[in-house]
Amino acid sequence: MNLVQVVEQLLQTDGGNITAHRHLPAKAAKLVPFPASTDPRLVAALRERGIAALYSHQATAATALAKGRHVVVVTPTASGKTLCYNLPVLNTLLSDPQARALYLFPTKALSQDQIDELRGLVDAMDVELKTHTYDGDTPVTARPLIRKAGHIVVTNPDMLHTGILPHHVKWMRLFENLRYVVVDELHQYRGVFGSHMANVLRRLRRICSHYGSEPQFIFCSATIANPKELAEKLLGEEVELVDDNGAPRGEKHVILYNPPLVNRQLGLRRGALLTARGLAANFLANRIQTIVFARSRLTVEVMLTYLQEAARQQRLPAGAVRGYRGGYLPLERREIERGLREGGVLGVVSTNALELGVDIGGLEAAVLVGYPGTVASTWQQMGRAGRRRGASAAVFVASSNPLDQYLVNHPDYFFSSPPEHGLVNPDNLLVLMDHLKCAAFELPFGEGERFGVETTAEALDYLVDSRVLYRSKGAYHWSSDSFPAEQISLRSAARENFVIIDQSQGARVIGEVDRYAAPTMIHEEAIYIHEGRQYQVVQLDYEEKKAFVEPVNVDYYTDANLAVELQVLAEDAGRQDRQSADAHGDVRVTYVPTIFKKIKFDTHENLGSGPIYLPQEEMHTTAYWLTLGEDTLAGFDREQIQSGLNGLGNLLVNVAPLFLMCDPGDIRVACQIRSPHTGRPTAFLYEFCPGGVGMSERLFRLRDDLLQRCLELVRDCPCEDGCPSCVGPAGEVGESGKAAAARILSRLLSDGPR
Amino acid sequence: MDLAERLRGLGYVSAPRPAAVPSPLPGAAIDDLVPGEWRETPHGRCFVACSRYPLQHEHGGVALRQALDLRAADLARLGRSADLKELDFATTAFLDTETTGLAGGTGTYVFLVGLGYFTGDGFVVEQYFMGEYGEEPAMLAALSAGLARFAAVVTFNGKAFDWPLLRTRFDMHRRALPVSEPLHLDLLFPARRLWRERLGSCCLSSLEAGALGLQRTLDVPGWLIPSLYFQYVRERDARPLRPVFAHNEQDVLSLLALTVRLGRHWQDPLRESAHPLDLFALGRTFEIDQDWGTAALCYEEALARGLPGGKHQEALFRLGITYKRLAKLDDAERVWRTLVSRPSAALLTPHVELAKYLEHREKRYAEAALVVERALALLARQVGSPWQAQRSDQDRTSLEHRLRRLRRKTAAAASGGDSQAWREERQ
Repeated sequence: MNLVQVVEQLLQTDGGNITAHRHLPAKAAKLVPFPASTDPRLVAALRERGIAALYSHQATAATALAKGRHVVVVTPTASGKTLCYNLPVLNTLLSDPQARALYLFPTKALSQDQIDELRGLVDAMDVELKTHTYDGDTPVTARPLIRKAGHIVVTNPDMLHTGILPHHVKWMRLFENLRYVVVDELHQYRGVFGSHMANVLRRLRRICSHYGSEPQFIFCSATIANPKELAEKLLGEEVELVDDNGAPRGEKHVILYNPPLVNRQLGLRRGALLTARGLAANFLANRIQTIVFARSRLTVEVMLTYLQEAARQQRLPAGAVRGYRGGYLPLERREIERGLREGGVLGVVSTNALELGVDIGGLEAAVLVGYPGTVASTWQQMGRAGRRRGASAAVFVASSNPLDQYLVNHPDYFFSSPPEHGLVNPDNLLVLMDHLKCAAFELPFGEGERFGVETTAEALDYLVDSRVLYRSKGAYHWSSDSFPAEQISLRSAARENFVIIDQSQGARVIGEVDRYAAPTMIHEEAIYIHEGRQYQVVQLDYEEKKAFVEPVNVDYYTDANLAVELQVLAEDAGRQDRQSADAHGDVRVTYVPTIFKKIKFDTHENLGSGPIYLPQEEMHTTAYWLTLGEDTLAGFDREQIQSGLNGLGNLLVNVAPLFLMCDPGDIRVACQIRSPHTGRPTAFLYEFCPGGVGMSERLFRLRDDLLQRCLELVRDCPCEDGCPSCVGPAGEVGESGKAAAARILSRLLSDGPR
Repeated sequence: MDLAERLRGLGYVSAPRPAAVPSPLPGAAIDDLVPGEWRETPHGRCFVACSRYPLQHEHGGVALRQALDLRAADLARLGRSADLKELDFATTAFLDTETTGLAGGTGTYVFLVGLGYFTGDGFVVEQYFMGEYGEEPAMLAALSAGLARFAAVVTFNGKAFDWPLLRTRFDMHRRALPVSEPLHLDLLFPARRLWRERLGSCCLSSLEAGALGLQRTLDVPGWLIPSLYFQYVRERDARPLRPVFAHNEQDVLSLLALTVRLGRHWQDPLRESAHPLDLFALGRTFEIDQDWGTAALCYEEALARGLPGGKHQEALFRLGITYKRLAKLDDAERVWRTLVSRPSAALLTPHVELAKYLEHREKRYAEAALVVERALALLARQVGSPWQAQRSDQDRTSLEHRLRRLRRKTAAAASGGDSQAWREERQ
């Protein structure tokens, strides 16, 4: 059977489980001729590669850049985004061989692909343009030449942070002549990582300014709700948005699939993994090239085993189904990619679209096991199935996670524009101070110089008091024998990390967890997953910040409960009406883990629990809170108020990630039946990151939308009294939790939107 | 909430203290405590400490004047660079820096640069001092004028550390070094080659103790120096800083003494080296530089003076190889025989070489065959890693091939001689 026939058959046999089937028609390319200013050598080289004209968005980007603007290009997968920057960069280099460009990619794998593509073009043009990666793997002997003479230097944020900026004098040629900085995968730079990256870019621009250059920035992003805002926050300047995607697309069938209920009362469903395996095996049996995306490396392993067995039974050659892991060497990746292009590889199982190279051709089918966490990445993964011509299909199989269930049951929401906002807070105080130190190490600060915030002088004086800087004749000099960049991880806000040690074969450090996450992630008996392998924490030495683990093989994961005390320190903004009041501001959260639960993979059953004995921790962060007025709770007895509030809190924290691009643990809820701050029942949504990254303020702005989604989730959930997919199990939340929460929400929204 | 409170609440670890306004203590300024002069530059003035030593002054058992007897050719050999033949101590600076840290990068400052050089009648050590950060332009200007007199520098680890750091400081102020690429003799490399075997560590202080016989008393440890400087910048009391000047000055003198020692080892290895391990190390380095004659002399002398067990065998082995290079095959044979006959013989090469000698020079095939059999037995006893097993297979195959040929020749000789046999496959 061909793809369309398989899809039709699926719609017939499994129609009851399919909550949506959309047929996206084919789209023709929107072509624009090369701009007149394009160097003829470049035009010839591109024609040689089959590119005779530009897609609309590539041309728009080139035009905006020619006007001297910074640009953010939003493109779905495989729509020729590299040409959006390679064209203007190469064009400039061809006319000015002194010019330089810097390309930033989050992973080395992507860097390598870029180099290959660039070199291909440069070779075709037969010019002397040097393009090199510069990272930890670059041989020491090659480095001086790249620094002096490399026209395009491809690197990653960490290398820029510790290897290039603090040694900028060695890079003088580059910085003096820097014309472009390309930042790919913009949407990855959000949350704490994004806040760090914004500061790394501040330091970069500061150094460019010192050498007299003002490069133009070219950002590339997947589809998120606020690409322009995110780019502008990261850069601190206005950025022009380019989103008129002109790439062609074959017709596409998108299916949302909800595995059937196996226990209606408890709300338990058939596992997503099991369901997805059947769907994928069916595609493979029909010789349809398929990619399967799973949420964790562990699931990838399990799925791979199943599908390889299925392939064997269908008499497919060995190597027809491959796993695709980030840790693979370039050679292995090339092999699999070639196999996909040439047809030798029929099936691939992977965790992350990011780990795939730039060009693997278009597969025919994609199956997503569970929700990848954001609508943006869902489309990115689905986008891996798709050809310029011919049909493709993408199937999203929902797990019992509340978000999965919400999306699969509200397909309109899923198919309308993506709601997630990438959030960063470049002025998060902890992050800012770290980079202020790095910047002072790089170049002494002058009197009145600003680094992001207006209170720079105050911060610098604080560092002088701490004996880290010395002030001489108005300038602030680095006055310590340490190297600040080395002590800062771009991916965490805490400096004291816990180290995780596998003691099964000697003592091997396998990972790190930041101090705030430690109580919930690596308490004793916790299951910790690393690179697809499961480990159990055998001992946690809290003082020494070490967790000792050993490998295990179990069918559950653990989830810890926190007892939280929350105190409002300052309110940044608030409003009130008859039904309720809400606000956001700074809070102090004191938390201690209490018990942990063992939760079965796939079905999310509770298999048991155990106590956790760990000391209390404190964190200052930001929060959004919603206070319920008397009218909202009219006619409720005490139990209903309590369980309604809890239920509401759980709904809020489950739905919030729909709007914020965050990981599940990044935003949490604490309910106070009689809040010391408000005097009334209040639900607090707080960020689990010191200083916060802006989520609280965003929730405050999105209040009505947020509450609307909560209402839809609880109203449309088929369970009776509550389940993990909506307000939480009745046993935890309270008997009337579901009903009370639903009533509260409809009352809150009865006044109409604000 | 002010900044400090907010930072504390966020878990920022640091101990703020109210900044004290520095006022120089009477009698405790740097020019009160260290002899020197203030030099004027377009960027202000810079303090340069200055000491003079007569040529006969001794440091580490070496008289400073002995440097003037060194031959540039020897220095070129030990420095492994032909252009060092141009080295002339009249235009050479012995250079050592003190810095605010070892990390490198643009936030590491050089606060003291010691320059030692010969004048007509003595040896001068100048020390260019950056009193505080704002004085860096003045210090670099004075240093630039100072360095402009020299075409060469001698350092210890300067190629990787001191010189690039100086270049960074000049670059930060958009100045050029007066001689951007001087002749550069970095003593770290020859010192390692000669002394690592015997002394283990090759940091400057171990070398001083082990090679110069010098023990500094009351010296400030290197790791403490940055914090002493930071303290000085804040409190302007030069008293704790005086030992840093002394330390730096001693470093410069030791550079000179080491140069003399190293130069003399290369010039006359047998006379200069007291210790057999040093001679052995010299033998290795001359061998690598393809000076077989001197290498052989060093090995012979080292063996004569007595080497510890494992080293003895290794030296014998290298001597054998060196003799072979010199085409002194009879001498080589004696060495192979010694090595082969030892109960602890573990190397294949001596067996193979001896067998070749016996086969081709002496035509004693039966005896050669016996040696090859011993080699095969040795190989059979060896236990190694999987890749060694592969090598062993290759060795075994080659030895068996040799043995077969020798047995053929023995048989042929016994049955009336056959000059054909040895024409087959020589070596």
